[in-house]
Amino acid sequence: MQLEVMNPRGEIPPPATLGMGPRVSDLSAKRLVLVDNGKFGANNFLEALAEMLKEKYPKTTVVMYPKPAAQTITNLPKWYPTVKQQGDLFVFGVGD
Amino acid sequence: MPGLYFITSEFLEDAKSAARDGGMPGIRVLALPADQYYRARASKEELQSIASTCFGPMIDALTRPLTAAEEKPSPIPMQREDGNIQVIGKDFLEAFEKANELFLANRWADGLPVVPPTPELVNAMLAGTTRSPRDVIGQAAPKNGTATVEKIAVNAVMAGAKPEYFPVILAAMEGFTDKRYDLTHVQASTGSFTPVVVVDGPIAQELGFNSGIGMLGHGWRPNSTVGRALRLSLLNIGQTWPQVNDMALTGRLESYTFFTFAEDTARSPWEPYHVSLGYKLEDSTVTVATSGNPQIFGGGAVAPWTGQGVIDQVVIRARNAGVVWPHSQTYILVLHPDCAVDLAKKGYTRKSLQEYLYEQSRVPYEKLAGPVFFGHDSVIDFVRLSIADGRIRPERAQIFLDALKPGGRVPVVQSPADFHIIVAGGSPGYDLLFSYPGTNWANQTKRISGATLTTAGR
Repeated sequence: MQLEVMNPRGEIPPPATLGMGPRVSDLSAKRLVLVDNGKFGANNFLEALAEMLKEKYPKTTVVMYPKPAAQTITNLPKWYPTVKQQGDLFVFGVGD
Repeated sequence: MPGLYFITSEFLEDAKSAARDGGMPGIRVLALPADQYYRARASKEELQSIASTCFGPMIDALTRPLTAAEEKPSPIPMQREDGNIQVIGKDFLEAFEKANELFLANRWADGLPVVPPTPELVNAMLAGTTRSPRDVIGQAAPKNGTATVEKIAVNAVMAGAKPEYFPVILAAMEGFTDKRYDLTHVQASTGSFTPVVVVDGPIAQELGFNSGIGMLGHGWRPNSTVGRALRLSLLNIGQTWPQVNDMALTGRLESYTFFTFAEDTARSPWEPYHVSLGYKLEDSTVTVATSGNPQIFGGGAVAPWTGQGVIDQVVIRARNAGVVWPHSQTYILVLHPDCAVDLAKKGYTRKSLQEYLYEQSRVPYEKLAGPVFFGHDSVIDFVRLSIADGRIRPERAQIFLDALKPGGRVPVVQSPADFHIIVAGGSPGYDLLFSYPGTNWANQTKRISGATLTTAGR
């Protein structure tokens, strides 16, 4: 007995790929942007990291930059480029 | 700009999937242990240990030179999904079982047995519509899969739907893939939302949808299989899977068939819901919406109730102790026919009832909630921002500005029409409130067309 069956999956138009930005050799004299994604507790986690950064990398400037919640902003894609204006590299969290 | 994303370990696969969907497979991601993070996140002090553990890997991720693949990822190839599959067994039962095992192993099924979608059955399904198999109904989130008429037909066969139901399924998929419907949130959110599917107009009766006792339950093939066809279409065309990129924490209350039912237009004292939206009486429509956990009002068979008592309970619920999201909140209030008739005898029309709910649920300025969510100081701050960025429609903005001061009363929705009122249920019956504080417009109503096997919906 042979059953021929059809594939139920939709085809996905492949997205154009983007490479990552080059890394820095060290954090000295750099501005590191800590982006709080607004999820409960993310601010606490990033603040804990900020304290450690200030202690271990005193020449690094740490910038806290909260993301507006999706519920309160019309166009997040327009907001993301503003992260770049805040510093040289970023850490984003905490996603779930 | 060099960067790094922190996520929790349960979401690692989801993050990688989303990065690939966005064309950035090289994003550096660090996972925090979920079993520790969620309990510790209430304070910086409790998170100290986790932060210490991930500090070194964070510095490494920011400074370690990129690999060639991270710097210039290879193009993501188009994965064709058009080939038929041959399943061989010693008899029909074995082939049927093997087909089902294959579909579940491929994450193409919902865990219940599916009808193997043979070309013959799919062609029979396609005969239910005048639409071409190649017509594109829309793109399904989260992976932006292309919803062709043929792919939806394959899923409808798997669900056990009859070909005469197919135009209803197509119209609902048109709603789900409408850019104004927030399908990504519904398909992927931890919030465990369930779609609501309401059929209106003469096709509901012609196909035999249940709108009475047990309308959300099993036993009626149109309710069950239209809902399941949509479940499978969203799963397969949007390409989601639990614990991968569908992170609904509890799953959904009606995961297999969604909340799928028809309005009881025969026993409603008011014009059909779709007519209230401007459609013709002879039109048939399907409305897709989203809900968190629905709430039940009224006494059913065990306690007395009045229509006024029911809607006043709805008002209290809609006020939500002052935690309101007026820019995006929608409600679907399903009144059982006796309740609707009772309210009509008291003089309510659907429109005046909507206005009553809108006016009575307004929250006094002084009772708006304080710091509750997403880093905003208060609901006041939240509503002001929604006005400023245009999410509260400009023509409604002055109402909210006037309310945002001592003595003011802030609406919980943008307009009375955001209380959608539908009549369905038994006698006796309960009344249901579906609610969704979404990030976009939740409800989409589409006219059913192109039917070939029914008198309605042509």
